[in-house]
Amino acid sequence: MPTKTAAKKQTKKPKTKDFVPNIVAFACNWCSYAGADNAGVNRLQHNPNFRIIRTMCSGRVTPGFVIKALKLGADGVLVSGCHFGDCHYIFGNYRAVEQFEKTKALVKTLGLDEKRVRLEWVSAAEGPRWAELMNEFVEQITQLGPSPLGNNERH
Amino acid sequence: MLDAGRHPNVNILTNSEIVSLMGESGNFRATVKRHPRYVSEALCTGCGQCVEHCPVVLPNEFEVGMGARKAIYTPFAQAVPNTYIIDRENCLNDEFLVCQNCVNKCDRNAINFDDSGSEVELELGSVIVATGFDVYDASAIASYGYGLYDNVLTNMELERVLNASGPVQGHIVRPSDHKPPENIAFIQCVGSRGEGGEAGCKYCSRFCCMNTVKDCMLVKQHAPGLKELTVFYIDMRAAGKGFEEFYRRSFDMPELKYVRGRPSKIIEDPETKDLIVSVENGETGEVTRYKADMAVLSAGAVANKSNIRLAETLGIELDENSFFKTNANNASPLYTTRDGIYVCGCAAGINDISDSVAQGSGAAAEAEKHAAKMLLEEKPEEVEEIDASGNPRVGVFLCHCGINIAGVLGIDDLKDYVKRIPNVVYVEENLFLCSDEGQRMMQEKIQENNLNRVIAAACTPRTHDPIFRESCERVGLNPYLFEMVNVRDQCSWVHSRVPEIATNKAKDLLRMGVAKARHLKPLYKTDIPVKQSAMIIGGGIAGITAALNLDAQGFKVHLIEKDSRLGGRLNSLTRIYPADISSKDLAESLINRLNKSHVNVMVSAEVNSITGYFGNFNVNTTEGNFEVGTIVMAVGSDVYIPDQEFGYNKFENVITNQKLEDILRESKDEIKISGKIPETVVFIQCIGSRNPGKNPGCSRYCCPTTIKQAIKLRENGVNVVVLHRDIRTVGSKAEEQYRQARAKGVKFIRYTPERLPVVRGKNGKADHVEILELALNRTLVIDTGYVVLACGMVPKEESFKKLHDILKVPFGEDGFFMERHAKLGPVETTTEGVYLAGCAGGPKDISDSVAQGSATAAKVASVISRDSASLDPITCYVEQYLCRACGECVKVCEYHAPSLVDVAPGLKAAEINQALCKGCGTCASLCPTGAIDAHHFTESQINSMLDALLLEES
Amino acid sequence: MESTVNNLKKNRAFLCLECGKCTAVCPISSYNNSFSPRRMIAEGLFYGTDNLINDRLLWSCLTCQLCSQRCPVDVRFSEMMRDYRAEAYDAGMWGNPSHGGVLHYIMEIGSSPNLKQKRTEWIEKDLRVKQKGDVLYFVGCLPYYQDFFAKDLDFSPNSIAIDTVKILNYLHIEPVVLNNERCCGHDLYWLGQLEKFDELARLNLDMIAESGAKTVVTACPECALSLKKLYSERLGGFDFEVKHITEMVYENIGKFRFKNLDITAAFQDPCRLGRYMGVYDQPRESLRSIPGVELKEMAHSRRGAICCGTTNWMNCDTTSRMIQQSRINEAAKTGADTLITSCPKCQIHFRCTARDTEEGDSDKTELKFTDFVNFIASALVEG
Repeated sequence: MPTKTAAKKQTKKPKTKDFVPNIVAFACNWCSYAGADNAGVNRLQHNPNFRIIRTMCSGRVTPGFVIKALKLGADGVLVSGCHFGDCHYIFGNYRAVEQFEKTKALVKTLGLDEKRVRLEWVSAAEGPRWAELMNEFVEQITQLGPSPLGNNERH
Repeated sequence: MLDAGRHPNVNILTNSEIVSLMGESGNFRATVKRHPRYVSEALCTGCGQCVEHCPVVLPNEFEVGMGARKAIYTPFAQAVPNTYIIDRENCLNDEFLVCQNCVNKCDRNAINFDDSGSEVELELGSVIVATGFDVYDASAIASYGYGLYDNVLTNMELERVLNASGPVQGHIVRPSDHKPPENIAFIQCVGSRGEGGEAGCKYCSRFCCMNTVKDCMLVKQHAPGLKELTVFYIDMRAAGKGFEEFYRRSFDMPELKYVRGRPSKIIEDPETKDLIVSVENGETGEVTRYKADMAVLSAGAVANKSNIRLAETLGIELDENSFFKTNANNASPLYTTRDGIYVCGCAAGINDISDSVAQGSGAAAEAEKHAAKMLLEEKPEEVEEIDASGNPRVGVFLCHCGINIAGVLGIDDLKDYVKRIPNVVYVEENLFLCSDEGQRMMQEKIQENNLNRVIAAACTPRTHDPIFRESCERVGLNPYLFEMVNVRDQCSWVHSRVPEIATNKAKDLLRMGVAKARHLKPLYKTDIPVKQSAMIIGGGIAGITAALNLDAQGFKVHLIEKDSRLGGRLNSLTRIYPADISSKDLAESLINRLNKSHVNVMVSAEVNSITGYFGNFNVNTTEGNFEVGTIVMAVGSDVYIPDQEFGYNKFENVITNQKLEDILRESKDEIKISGKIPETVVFIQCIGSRNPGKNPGCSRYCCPTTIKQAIKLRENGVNVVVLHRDIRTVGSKAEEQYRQARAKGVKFIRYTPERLPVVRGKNGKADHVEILELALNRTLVIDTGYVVLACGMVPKEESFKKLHDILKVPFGEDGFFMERHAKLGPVETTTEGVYLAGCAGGPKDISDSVAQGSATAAKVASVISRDSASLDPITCYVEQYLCRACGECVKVCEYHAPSLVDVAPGLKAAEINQALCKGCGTCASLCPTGAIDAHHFTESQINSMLDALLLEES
Repeated sequence: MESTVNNLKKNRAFLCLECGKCTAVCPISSYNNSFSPRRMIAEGLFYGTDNLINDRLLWSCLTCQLCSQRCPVDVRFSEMMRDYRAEAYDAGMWGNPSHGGVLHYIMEIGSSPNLKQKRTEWIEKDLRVKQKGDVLYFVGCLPYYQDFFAKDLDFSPNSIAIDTVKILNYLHIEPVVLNNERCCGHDLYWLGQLEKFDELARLNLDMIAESGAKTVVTACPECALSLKKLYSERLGGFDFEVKHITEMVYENIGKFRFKNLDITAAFQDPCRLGRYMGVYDQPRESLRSIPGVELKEMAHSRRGAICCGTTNWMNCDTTSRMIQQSRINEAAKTGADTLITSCPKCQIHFRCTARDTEEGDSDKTELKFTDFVNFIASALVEG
């Protein structure tokens, strides 16, 4: 089956002042997504400028997903899974590392700051860590400024 | 509630009372009086017309009188069944003036004032008492002015105030002037740890400390102008898994102060209605008057007042506090004094949520022994499946979750926005989408609008996907055409301070959800066979309890113990409180029962490896191979071994509490240490516990154990001094024991982690302990013969690691195995078919371990009582026409799900065994050609979410 | 419908005699019955585009030109596929991209004018390159391939770039290498993403113009085709000459000193270099001038050479693998120990199939795979 791509739409030019980054966070169902929920249960307020996409395992996240997000103008992409040894699928997170190394190499060659992509481990119990990580990552991306590939303005 | 309400094997009788119970265990006959509801459950649709037109406005009990309800009402929003009830005492129809408004407004003619109730006869195998508790009436303590002063609330009232769906929508204001408070005082132990009777119960209500810590955190979010929160307490009892860590996190709130001291009184300034709280600071000795805008009384729990009548009806005994008495011959907290009647939760004493959940499951397991395969399996009605092959017609349901969501996100704005998303043909909002009424509405709307994709923007799919999916299924929509958008846990809850930004985030998330929904495909469950047997790893009390229960239910059980004898920790204890039974006797009786049972007991045996999956594990042990459907991990914990703390290993007379227990056990009644009765013994608490970083948790068992030992020593004429950080006697009867210890002359001195006691001595022998006494601000020198270190429980590193590697059950921050859900899934793990009982999941006392043992039995039984199970269809699949048979998937899968098969002569392609596949999608991500995809997380679904987020206009 | 007519007209499909030579010769058709160029032409003629643009096989055509070459009436099938794909793409359709589409995303990212890449990390100290000059070496996608494939396929795509510069330096040419070079756009062109192709072309042309280069050398036949023919077809003529490295080496063959290699090799004609640009003899003559090298011809070679099995990182499936395997077997059958190609993609595809063939399988090959430039460079005698 051929797959559909979304309708192409051109949006406005970036406005560098008041830069609000556009960040995609891939979170595995068992640890990181649960950790993000745990942040919620604990009402840990954190920076809202990221959008989570749930996958079952961090090993699911292909370089394609990350590079696509960057291509579409994401200012940063986080891939988050279980700590080593905690993967619900045993070694899915090790595969995530291998995949992420390729992603990172490509990001570097493409001349994007490699700090725009990040691989992290957050467990289901680590709501506080999730909140802290997102604050930190959003801050990091804000410091880097808009992606050269960005063409979106968003708040 | 919703799950229970929907379960084919659960028949819920609300508004009903048991009036007699005849017969005996396994063969009870109960008469149940169903009080009149005046509204037919069968006819009522929950439309709300009757409520709207009822003229009688009354204080709402559920809102602790702070909200209003009508004379026809539902007790609370998520009530099951969600049928109205009429409060006849307050209904106008009882008066000469006949109202009939509700009757006239009810389109379904569901209201019948002639309802006189009914009686039902039930044949029962067993009875479980789960009547919960009542809240202590704080007005009994006149000096706190509850009921007199407007701004004195109870913790239960604060709960409602903080609740987004409560009477003030979670906006915290003082009752007197509706202004947001700047400082709030929390007063602990109101009605608990008292003298008995009206002056407060003698026991500790256990949950109030943590409840206050949580409330303080919540208050901060709900009261923006807050400057100061002061908690007045005696001991902070953060004794439970993760509690100490939670308590410690609260230290990060600059507004929050903990003051040790129980206020003597609260006085109200009649002009300003401000409150003055008088207290002696236990650390500084100063008597201080705190000005507070509001005071919250942590009212304790008392026995349900209907317990007395119920105990009479059921023929079971109550204890001195009117809680149900548990069987003295048994360490289990689940047995009442009558065979076949079980008790759980707060009916038999105070428990927190996770212990109540474990006890609930445990009581179910005990009851199952009498139920002898009474399992009813009702197939849900066959409904014709909705054809979803046409253009996506997406329906979006926005849940308010009371105001958990609606209080932060602009629902109207979201609604308008969602309507404009292509393919969205219907948008609806609901106060509680997961409620009966919400679900019914969702089902109706799916049918009315021919929806073929459904989105719920609500809490988290991790808990609520199953509920919503079931609703879809009921009306014939394939449950996997449903998608959840997390706008609560990951949005409104964590971005509540920036509602506008949070609303925009929700829009993005919804747009992404709709994008994914367009690409959803129907998926179908498949059945796999289940081996109807269980393997229990660990022969301590938790494991034995589980084994005996499952055996009694008629299941094949294998119990494997590494040690040469069964009993685990029981073997190193003397007597067990509160039942006050000999540990040795208990162990022996359990082992006797095991020997008489059909349980395959293996001692000095170990698990080598486990393969297979849920329903079909292959366990390879030193005693052979076993095929089992489920596994219980009940491997216990280790006791912390001190290193150099407090002179351990340096002075011979500094010993652990376990060593003391050995001495007590072996010395019968004469307490001699090294041949003579010591004059003084000093206990030091919290060794290897409450130690951030290393052993962060409270080990929970050590305070009661120390007190038990201290009493024993004291009874033998020994001077006993206990150095502690907080005395945490939260278990059943533990507080009473603590009082008894004090009454007998055991001295208690508090220390802080900043000023640790110092043990001094010479020639390898400790002779005195120095400690700063805080109230006197003076260093005390205590000459002592022995120093006993109360050592906490720590993970069994080696066995934990081994099991972790085999079964993939994750560890928590404290190094113990992590349960599926801290509150709601205390004995389940993230690995399907693998359960957790006893101290392997964190420190526990005997009775909690026993309850968990029973609880796992219930969980195991729920799997192995059937010979098949249906598999989650969220797996990976191969489009074989795209497959190059490169074998990458075969190499990468830890579950051996993919293999290369011949699809045509000389032509291979990958195939994925659906029973083995866990759906992680790693193979899909590594597949070079895109032949493998992960159901429900397909490449096109994820790509479309990225497109929606980054390409489409918000 | 009008676009279909234009497409058919422009690509001479109305002239189709239904002789079926195209299908008979098509490498895809020989392993996959459901793919038939003749039927696809008929489909367009009689039913329009609806079925075609929804057919995943639309993306399977290798655009290898083998059919066009045999066609008695010169139906331009590859170009017709390109135009249908453009239509399909606009309708939101897409084939099954390999590697999660990551390579296509990189091509598209190249069209961003703000991009500041770091593509020249491979340039070793002893290589001489310049910022401006007469000769420009157009590297192509090698640095991306290095990131993505080097580890899995156990070879270094960047070594092709390194050896190309070495060869040029040997000829006393210090080429310009662009740090911010974009993908040439070849794959996007054949996938019908012509707008994106134009954007990439403009960016590359600007950079080439700025470098002052009069000759552009590339070691990739796809880049060569794009620069030589496709750019001017889409955007008009330019005043630089484009040479594939095989042509460059052949023209200067007298200037090289080679050592004896004692290797029996076969040469895989890349479709773009052979059928599209007519370069058959230059690589062969160059290789033959290395002492000790015996060059064998595969059963299908030169004009009749068969594609390496997949193009455009699209629809790489079992058919692709079978084509690759048959190519490897053909090469092995010649008695060659090394299969030389002058297209990095051919090498990636052959290596992939060879790696995936299990030990003990009769198809398992001892054959070595190498690029023309690596081969030449390995034979060079210093000075």
